[in-house]
Amino acid sequence: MRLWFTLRWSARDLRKKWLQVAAIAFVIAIGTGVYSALGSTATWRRESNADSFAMTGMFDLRVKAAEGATAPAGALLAVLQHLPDPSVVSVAEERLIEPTQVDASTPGRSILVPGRIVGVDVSGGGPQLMIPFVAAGDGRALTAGDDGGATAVLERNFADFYDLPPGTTVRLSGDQSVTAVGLGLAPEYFFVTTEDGGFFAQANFAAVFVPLATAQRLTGLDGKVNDLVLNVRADVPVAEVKAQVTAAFAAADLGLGETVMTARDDTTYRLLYDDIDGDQKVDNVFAMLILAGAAFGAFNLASRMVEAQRREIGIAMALGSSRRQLALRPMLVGVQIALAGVVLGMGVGLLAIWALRPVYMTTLPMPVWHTGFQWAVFARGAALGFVLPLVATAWPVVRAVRMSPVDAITTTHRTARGGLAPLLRRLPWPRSAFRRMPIANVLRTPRRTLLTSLGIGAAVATLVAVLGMLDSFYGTVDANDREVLADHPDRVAVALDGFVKVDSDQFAALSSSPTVGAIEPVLRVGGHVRAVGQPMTSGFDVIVESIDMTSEVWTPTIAAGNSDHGIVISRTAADDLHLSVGDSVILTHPALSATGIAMVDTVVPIAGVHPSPYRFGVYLDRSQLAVFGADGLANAAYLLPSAGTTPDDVQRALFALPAVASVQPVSMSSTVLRNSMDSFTSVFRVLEGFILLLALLIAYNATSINADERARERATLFAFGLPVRRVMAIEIVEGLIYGLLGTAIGIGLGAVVVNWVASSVISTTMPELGMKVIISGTTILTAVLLGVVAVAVAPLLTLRRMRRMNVPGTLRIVE
Amino acid sequence: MTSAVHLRNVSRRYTVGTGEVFALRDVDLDIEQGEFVVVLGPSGSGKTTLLNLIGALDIASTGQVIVSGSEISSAPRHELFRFRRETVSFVFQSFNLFPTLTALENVQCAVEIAGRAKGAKQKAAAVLAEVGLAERVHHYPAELSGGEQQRVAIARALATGNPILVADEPTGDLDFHTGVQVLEVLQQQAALGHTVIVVTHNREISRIADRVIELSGGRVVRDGPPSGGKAAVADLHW
Ligand SMILES: Nc1ncnc2c1ncn2[C@@H]1O[C@H](COP(=O)(O)OP(=O)(O)OP(=O)(O)O)[C@@H](O)[C@H]1O
Ligand SMILES: [Mg+2]
Repeated sequence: MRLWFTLRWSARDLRKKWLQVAAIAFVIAIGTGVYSALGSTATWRRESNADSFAMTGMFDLRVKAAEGATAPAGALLAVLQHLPDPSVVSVAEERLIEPTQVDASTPGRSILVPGRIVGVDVSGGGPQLMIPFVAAGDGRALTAGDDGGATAVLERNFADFYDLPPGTTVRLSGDQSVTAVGLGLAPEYFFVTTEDGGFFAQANFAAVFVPLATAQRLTGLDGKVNDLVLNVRADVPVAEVKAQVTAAFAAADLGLGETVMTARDDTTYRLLYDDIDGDQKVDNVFAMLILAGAAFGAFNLASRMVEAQRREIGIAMALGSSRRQLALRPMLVGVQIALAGVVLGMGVGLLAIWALRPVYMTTLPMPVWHTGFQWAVFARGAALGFVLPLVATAWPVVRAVRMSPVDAITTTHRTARGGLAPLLRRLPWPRSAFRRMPIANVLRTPRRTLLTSLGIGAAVATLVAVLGMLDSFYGTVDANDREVLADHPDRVAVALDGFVKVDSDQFAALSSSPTVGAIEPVLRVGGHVRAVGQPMTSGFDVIVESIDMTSEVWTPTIAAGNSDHGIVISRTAADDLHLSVGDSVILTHPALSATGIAMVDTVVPIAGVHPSPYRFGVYLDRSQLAVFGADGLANAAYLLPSAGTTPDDVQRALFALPAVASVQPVSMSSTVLRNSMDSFTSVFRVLEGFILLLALLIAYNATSINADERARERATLFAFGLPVRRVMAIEIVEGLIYGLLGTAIGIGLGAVVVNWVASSVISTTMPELGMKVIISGTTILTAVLLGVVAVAVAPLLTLRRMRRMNVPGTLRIVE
Repeated sequence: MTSAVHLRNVSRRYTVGTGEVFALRDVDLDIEQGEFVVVLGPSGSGKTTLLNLIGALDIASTGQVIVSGSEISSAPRHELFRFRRETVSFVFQSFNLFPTLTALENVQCAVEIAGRAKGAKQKAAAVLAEVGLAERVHHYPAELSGGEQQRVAIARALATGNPILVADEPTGDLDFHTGVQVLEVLQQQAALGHTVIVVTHNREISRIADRVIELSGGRVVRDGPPSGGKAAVADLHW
């Protein structure tokens, strides 16, 4: 047999089966395309970070004065002149940064949050470093002409959260107001965090960028600055310059109590880089999962397609073909599938990028977003996508070649060796041989049954894994809501500027507001817990809240133990520490000492556990505060609005009080949490569509191949006068059984994957979250709809083919 | 009274490439109920095509095909299904048994399809015994010899109880003894009033027929009682 002959023959195979070949290729394409897109996210983010920080002039070094300290304008820049070589600094600018309170309320809604006035140098037409970048459509940037005027650029994450358009007027502390001529993204706020480490703080923090002279006027600090940012010449190591700058400022002794920071000391900068690998890990799990689902599906389908040619292989063996010749024709089909899969995969990859790009742009808004096609990642996926169909087609060839030609030829007559027939024999129902037919088909060909169900199972498993992840994330948020919002969804959290006595005037000012119904003092400090005998590196950070455990405002649910002697920690935390109620932990917490506030270790028993999925919440009854030397102190409060007032009223009334730093309904934190979850999960939403398509393709193909294998039996039934509808019924019942099996396998496998992701991936990338694995009824229903209904209905797609079947032709064919 | 099978001017044409192939050409034929007819002819003469037309598996290109009073050549599709279920039973040249059903179930299945679900199993067992397979009822097709498979196929056709039985080379794979057994069964069916049409290459078999129809190149070239008169099954030798 010459090659061209084989080629023509195989082209004929292709023409007959082009739909199946295309569908299998598409399955591979979805796997490799989605894999390449998801596997590229780390690269995209690194490139986007680098260019966004470069474009907005992220500092190499920042000299930050201690709170309250200022220096005359120009004094900080002057210090740089005393560096051993002042030319190592390529750009430097002074800033004035002061805390403020921002009132951006709209007619329908109170928006009252703490914030920062950031005065920047506009003398050169706008700052050159730490630029608040204003995108097209978001208004305009600051110019030299704005200096001293009441114009500002408002931080965009905050503006977006509250839907504030450019042109919004915001009121600042001291009865001042500025007009936001633009909404800007600045490198320190690409990802908004607060000083005390709260993430996704855009709901409760507003940066207002104004020209330096304006900032000085608004804050009453005329001619003052308190911040210096600079970039270092590219050929000089930053660390070296940092040492020189530190030394120069120490020598200048401006009385600023300054800190010299590198970019990596900036929380946002660090987070934006540090999160990349963890997030990529989660993405990779799903990229792999989809690739594996597609790979298995494609393998399964391709090998069955070739398996159907086994008889031909046997005949060729009987004619004396060499193994190479035998393998060639089916392998050519494999090559065709592989090539088509890889080419289509690029298309799917581009489609996936197109779908993912807006997700990243909205969840992590940055001035520059690179989402280029990553050839290296694609090549990795495509290599598998290419090799797999080859192996899949070679496998049945190898199997066929190993048997004697006689056995290979007689395959169609010897497919049924009985299989699980004994099981069938004991099955009392159905009695009719005709009704037994689909069950017989399933039970007596266990290999085919297994392959078909596994194919469907792979698709269902991928779907369940992704939907299950979403269920688990939202289930976790819901669990937190149930705990935090519990009986009083209108609870309001107040943060105070500092520590006050509960019986002080400042606190009385809160409780005496007519808007306040009930109030509960809270002492909230950051801390750390670890098991006794363990080093500080073990354990984790917590937030310790001292509250009155008998308060009517809010108390955590005590799931086990009590709150009498010791702390109440979350069950997640207890599990992570491998401890339970009655055991002791080392709590590192701030304490007042003779020299000021210092962190000290105290061994405390775990009195009880609460059910919050977040492990950082630690509660302590106020009756035990004396032990920590903090009796009667508070720096926050929880309160309930009085009858007839809303959280909004409370916010307006209390925000004006001098001791109050912020007032937010507790539900806001749940909204923010949900938003942050949305941004994390929207990637999965994109995947959902691809996976649904993948699963449908696999289901359709499995059915279509099944139909091919059964063509003769169908024709025989027609010859006996069985109407199309009843033949269809047999196949639907058969499909239903495969679907049920496949769905059961898929749901089980999917649950295993979700469990694994939750226990090993999420617990390392998001350690503060004790994710509960939840697979919702909707997910099960979707899986069943897809796995059972779609698979059972798939034979209907072959209805046309069935109606037009050439009965005598099909019967006569000796395959 | 109308004949069981009535063909007028029947042709079956295939278009292959640019040319035309006549599998059957201008065939006129009447077969009476209860007749035992053997169709003889060389390979490619149109024997299977004739059976397919009678069994409504195929539609004539031109001409009229009336079987048991039903006009097949112009009947709507659903009529054809009913017709196949109730009128004609097939024994195929290549058995076409259901590989995942046992011998008994294959037969039982056909009885049920024909609409006689009650007692289908007993009926199936009885017919299998008639064709000498009482010992093999629980075997799968893969566990039967070619001849045994053929007998299951025959049993499957007989068990439907349809008035017309068509068989394409039913004895082709069988040894003499078994072949005789099968022919006796077929003859018995004719004696019971069924119309039996058997296709064969084997001139010897045609000796036991009531009537022999010879095809050549798609035309009927001879139609009449077997030359040398009708013989008994016992007189056959091959
Ligand atoms: N689908 C088809 N397309 C084209 N020609 C066909 C088709 N089916 C049958 N023929 C032709 O019709 C003629 C009759 O075929 P048929 O199967 O009836 O022969 P036969 O007498 O049964 O032969 P054999 O004894 O070998 O089974 C043959 O020449 C065959 O080539
Ligand atoms: Mg024939």
